[in-house]
Amino acid sequence: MGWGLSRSVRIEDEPLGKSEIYDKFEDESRPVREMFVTTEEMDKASLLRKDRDYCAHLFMDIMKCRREWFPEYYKCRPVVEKYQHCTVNDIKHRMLEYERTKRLMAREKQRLAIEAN
Amino acid sequence: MSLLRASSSILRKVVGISKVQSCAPTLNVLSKRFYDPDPTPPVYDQSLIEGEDLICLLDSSEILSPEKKARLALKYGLIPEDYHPMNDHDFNLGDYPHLPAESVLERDPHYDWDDPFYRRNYGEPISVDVDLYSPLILDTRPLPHDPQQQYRVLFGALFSCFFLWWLGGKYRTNLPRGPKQYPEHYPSDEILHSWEWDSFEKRGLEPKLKERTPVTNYTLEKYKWNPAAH
Repeated sequence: MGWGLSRSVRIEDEPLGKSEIYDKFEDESRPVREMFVTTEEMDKASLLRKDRDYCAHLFMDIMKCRREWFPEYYKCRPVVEKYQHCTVNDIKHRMLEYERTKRLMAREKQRLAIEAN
Repeated sequence: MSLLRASSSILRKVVGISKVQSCAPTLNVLSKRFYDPDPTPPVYDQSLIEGEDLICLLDSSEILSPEKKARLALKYGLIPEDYHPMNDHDFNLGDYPHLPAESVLERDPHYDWDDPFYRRNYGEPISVDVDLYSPLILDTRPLPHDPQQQYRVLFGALFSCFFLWWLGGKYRTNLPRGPKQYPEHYPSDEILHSWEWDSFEKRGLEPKLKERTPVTNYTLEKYKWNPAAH
């Protein structure tokens, strides 16, 4: 509660809607995010563009399970929960990326102010 | 043999067919196809309207005298105060009376009408739009609520829903997020809303849009997340 109200209203300090800043502060020393399926496997599964993300392997598991167990979709409930777990972790990752970029922007602003003086 | 003959005659009586085929119903079975439950009274099917009793054209330049108006009102079974000819009203229908546009459903259903379905008595003046205001077509009864108030409530509820939607979009309760990361880059991603508005044929046939480049993204986790552990 109160997250939206306590947020900063200075939009120039926020990376909201600025996708170039994420590329600017990219750190290649971090561990690479792992993708569990290849592009060819996703092509064979004919996944849509919106599903070709880092949870695509679990999405493909859901599709396989539903095809196998039709019409008893409740059998796929554990697989769906795994997929939901993955998507929620993806959202958390996006939030962390946002916060990291915001802090780096603030640090750079501070550094530029010191250099100017 | 005689038993067979007797049984066949009984069957014929019950079913109502004979060896001679005829369209007319037999005496044994009263066919519903030829049965008129609401027959025309004997006087009315022999009536013939001709001459002055038919609809006559009126000269719209001259003013109706009270005597002529009373005569024409009597012709259509009305009192002179209720008689307004349709001469130049909508289109020229001569001296036919202009009757109020009220549905049959507005009339008293408990009165003993001559025609209970159409709620009409014989000899009663009939509106030209009688088929329009028949009980199955139009219902001109007053509504139970004020239509303007109904519209006010309806649009008020709709616009309050849209206002709440706009408010929820303006003041988010979740934390702000970065853009979603994908392991591959499509050239059509740079076009705004290209997934929704571009057709599949267009995207699939253009060789320039087919080229995908892999993208490396980086995690923030010190230790990698093991999905099998959960």
